[in-house]
Amino acid sequence: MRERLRVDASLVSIILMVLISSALVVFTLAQEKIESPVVVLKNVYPKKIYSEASVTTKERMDFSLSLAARRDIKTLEIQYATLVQVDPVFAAEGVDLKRPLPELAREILPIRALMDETENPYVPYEAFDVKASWRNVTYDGLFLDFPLVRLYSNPKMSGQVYTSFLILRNATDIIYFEGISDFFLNRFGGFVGVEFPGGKEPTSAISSLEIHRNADKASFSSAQPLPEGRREMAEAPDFGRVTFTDVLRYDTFSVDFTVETPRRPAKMSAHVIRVIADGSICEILVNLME
Amino acid sequence: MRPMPGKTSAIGMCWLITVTLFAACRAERPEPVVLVYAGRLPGYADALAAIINETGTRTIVARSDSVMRALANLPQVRCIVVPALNPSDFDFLRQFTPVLQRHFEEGGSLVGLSAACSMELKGLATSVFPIRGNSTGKGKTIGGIYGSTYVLSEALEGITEGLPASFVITQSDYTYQSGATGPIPPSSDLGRLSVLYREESTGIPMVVALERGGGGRSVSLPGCYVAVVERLPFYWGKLVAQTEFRELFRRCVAWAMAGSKRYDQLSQSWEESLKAEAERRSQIVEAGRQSQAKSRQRRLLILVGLWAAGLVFQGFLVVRFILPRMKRPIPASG
Repeated sequence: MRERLRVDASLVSIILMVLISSALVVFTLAQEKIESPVVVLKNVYPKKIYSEASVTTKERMDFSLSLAARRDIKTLEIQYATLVQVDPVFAAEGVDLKRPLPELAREILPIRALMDETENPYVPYEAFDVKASWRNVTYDGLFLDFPLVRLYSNPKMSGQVYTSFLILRNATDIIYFEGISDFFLNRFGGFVGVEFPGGKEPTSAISSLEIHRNADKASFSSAQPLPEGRREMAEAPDFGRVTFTDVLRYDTFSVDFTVETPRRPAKMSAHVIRVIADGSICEILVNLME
Repeated sequence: MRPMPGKTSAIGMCWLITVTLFAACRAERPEPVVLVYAGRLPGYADALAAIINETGTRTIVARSDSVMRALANLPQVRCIVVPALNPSDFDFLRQFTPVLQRHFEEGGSLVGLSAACSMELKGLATSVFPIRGNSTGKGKTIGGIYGSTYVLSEALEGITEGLPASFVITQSDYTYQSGATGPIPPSSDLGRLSVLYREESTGIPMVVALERGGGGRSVSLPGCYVAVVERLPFYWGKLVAQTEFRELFRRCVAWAMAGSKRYDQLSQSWEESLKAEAERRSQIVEAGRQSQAKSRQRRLLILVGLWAAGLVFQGFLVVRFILPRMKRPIPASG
């Protein structure tokens, strides 16, 4: 006996709906874009910088930044800039502080000089809008970096050469910082005007530094003698720029260091940490410290 | 350029476009500049810069320490003039001396006046300005000028020719190195050292030129101690108004500039270096873009594969379980 197939209209429509909706889901997933290629897992820094001489017990100041990759990245860079607050020296008197920050920046002497002297089409200066918080006050800011200065500077002189500037503004005032491209001030020593109780000048303000990528670790120390398995602090990445290549999704990274310095900046200091994935800035962290 | 964080692809594209657009442009060779450290005497530094400007040479007066820190390493800096007089300047110079020493080692040129040639500034007064001053000689009134008489000691092309064999320079003091047996002549194992002028009565070197073996020149003027106070006979305004000093200083700077191997090398390779850096950056961007494209392609393939597998599974369910239930016998006709 022959059989007859009864085509059910509802079945056909369900199959069609499944086909169309699954195709839509696939299409949507294929088009999905990751907003930031990294996620910041941890950004720890001391709210106040102490100098060893200012306290009876040794204050350890621990800095820790941790990231995870959200997609494959060919080159991931973490660039540190350490800046100190100073009073801006303007090129002319009577500058209106309410002017837009890029215009105001051009009126500040070292920035103006660098803008004029490093103008070129290949390695121009970089300016980024940033936000920073301090004591429940949020500041809008402008961060300027001059990569050309790094290009022509010796890495071992990084502590003496200013490459970066930060101007923060709230409703009434501006706070101006200028500084170096490195993990912290005096990475190569060079303390001037400090009395050392033991008579021996420390070789670095950073006592230890560790760079992790997943389970791999590179350790640096300024202790004498050098602890086993650690390298000299001078061998840590030049200009505070840590580079990782062929990063895979879900890889994790961290940069941890401890500062023990005989001298602290007179006013506030700031860390500006840029995370650069495949040549594009994806995160800028501004850490303010008293 | 004002990239905003988070907008990675747009910034990357902008960067590529910027580099491409400007690739046709030419980065001009940087115009040489003399950097004059002002310290706490900006008026004095301005006057020294004005003397240099008379020769058509561009100058920048570093009115804040930050300007020195920012500019000293740039390739267009052909000579650095360090007229340090104030204790606050010495604090800065103690920190910054390694950069100046490095500048000299790389073939750069420097001209130092007064304390820069004598103060214990982490080696500035030994390695760059080889005076090692530890003793002080005093100026005196000579023909209505408070200072010292400079007399020609050794001729050096570019500095001494055309200048008188003897002239008076305004200064309150001058410094020199002194040992147990008296003054010790300056020396350097870095290159050729010439004592061009000496103080008339003592024979203490007043103008010392050093030509470094691997390139780089320095001129030390361990006198030229001046004051800020206008009523004093050794006020800086009196020094910079003297024709002989102006000519001497101008020639010292010109001689030092002419021997700046650092400037010659860096300015010649300026465009290539910048292009190479731009190329390196665009390669990183391009490699990242390609890697992302591959990653997207891989993701798309996986999704399409999963989708196809899902469809096959769905077809299997329909054929295996649903269709058999829908089949029923066709009633026999007739």
